[in-house]
Amino acid sequence: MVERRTFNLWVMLGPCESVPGEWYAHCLDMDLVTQGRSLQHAFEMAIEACGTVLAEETAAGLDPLRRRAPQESWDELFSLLGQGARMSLEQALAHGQVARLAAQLVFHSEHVHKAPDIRATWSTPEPVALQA
Amino acid sequence: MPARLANLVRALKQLGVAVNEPSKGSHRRATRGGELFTIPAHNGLKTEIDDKYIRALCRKFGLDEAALRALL
Repeated sequence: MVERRTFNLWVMLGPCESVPGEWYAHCLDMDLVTQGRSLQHAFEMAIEACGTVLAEETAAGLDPLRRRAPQESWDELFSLLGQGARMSLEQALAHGQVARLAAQLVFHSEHVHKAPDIRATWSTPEPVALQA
Repeated sequence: MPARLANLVRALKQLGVAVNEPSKGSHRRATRGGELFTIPAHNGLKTEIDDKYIRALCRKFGLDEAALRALL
């Protein structure tokens, strides 16, 4: 029996508060934070971190979405969605003037019973960027 | 104030959180009581960890942020 599940995860990215030059990525649906050397690197780190937690917690029978970010983080997301401009991921990553970015990562997992196996693939709809 | 990964790993171990090196990728794995939280380690043990990350880490494991920072 194959159990399929889709995870739509909101991720907010922006400059780190206390590490100059680095960018954070905050997955609000799992309250999972990571960081990278650039916007693009932080985005790649978010994919890796989210994929790791989704795969391991799903395999362990846990719900990866059981802990969401605090309301203030969601308020920040909704504010950005209202103010920002939609652009392709390539545009956003190549754009030198992005101040913050909100993107939705979509992971598809397959859990094969008796032979536990998690395969996660992902895609992202058009993100919303706030220009500096 | 950011924390260097080496110091954060040491502090977490003192608080009962296990930290494992990555088998692949750029994240270490912090675990306690079945809970998993990834730690960015793209610059190895010299990685400077942002305040936003530290607050989320504390929420995840129910750690007191001041107590963690006192161990850094």
